[in-house]
Amino acid sequence: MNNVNSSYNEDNNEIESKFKSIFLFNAVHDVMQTMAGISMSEVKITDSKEIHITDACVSGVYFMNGPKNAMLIVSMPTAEAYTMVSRFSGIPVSELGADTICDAINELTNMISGKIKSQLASVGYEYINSHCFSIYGPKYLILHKSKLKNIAKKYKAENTELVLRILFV
Amino acid sequence: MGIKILSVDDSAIIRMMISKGVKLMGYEILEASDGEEGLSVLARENKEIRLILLDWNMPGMNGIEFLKRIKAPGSAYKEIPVIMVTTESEKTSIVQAIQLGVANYILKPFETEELIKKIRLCLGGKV
Repeated sequence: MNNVNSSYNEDNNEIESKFKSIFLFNAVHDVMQTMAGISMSEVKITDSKEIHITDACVSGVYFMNGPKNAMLIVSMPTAEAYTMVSRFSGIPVSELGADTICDAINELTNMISGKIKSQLASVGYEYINSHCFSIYGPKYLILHKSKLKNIAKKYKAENTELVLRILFV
Repeated sequence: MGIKILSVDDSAIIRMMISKGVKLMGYEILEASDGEEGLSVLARENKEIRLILLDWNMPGMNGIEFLKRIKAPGSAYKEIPVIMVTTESEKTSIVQAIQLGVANYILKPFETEELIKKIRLCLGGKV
């Protein structure tokens, strides 16, 4: 029984380390650069509380089904999401509605998860992504069990910030 | 008569971006949000569509199912070239799409210039 548990833990750790070693930054950077001409840098996190976006924000959520199931969450402050979507769609901010913003954040999350999925496949881990859904509102928290393993990253450009979280579920 | 291009994608924002590029080229764009709607547009337009830009992952009839339907033996739309516009970048996915008859492949995210270039390539000689 101990051998079974030990093997299970080793497999899990191996997959988590693959997630950590892939170039999450490249996925975010490439998508934001191509779609909106925004060049983002990774912000070093010293305190896990820094990872929260405190203002109203919009999030795109994807389930990644594979050797170790994961949930990918991409969040941006709502006002910045409007500006970014306006830049890549050419539609003035005043003409954008919540539906368009949710659709755009879904598509952005789809592209980021697509790049992560592709990098994982290149090291032997095949994943299938679900359809995305979005969370939009003035104030919400995405909570999870404290023991749930996760990766959290924060990226910033001059007028934009983006938080990427991968929860192993 | 102008050239008509059909964009099948569940994302309105992507359809908007594609529409912008296609209109820049002076072509007419028709839109559908899934495979079933795409088939309806094809039937309605009665062979007037010269190119299809197709997403892979869509709720309802997805891109691959749509592709199988239009490339099936005896299909009236078999000769219309299809460009996949998708995040599916694994080799196995690309091979599957090519085996089903796609003419070209665009990975999301894409720039308008790349879209225009691949549309031109697919319509080459016919425009």
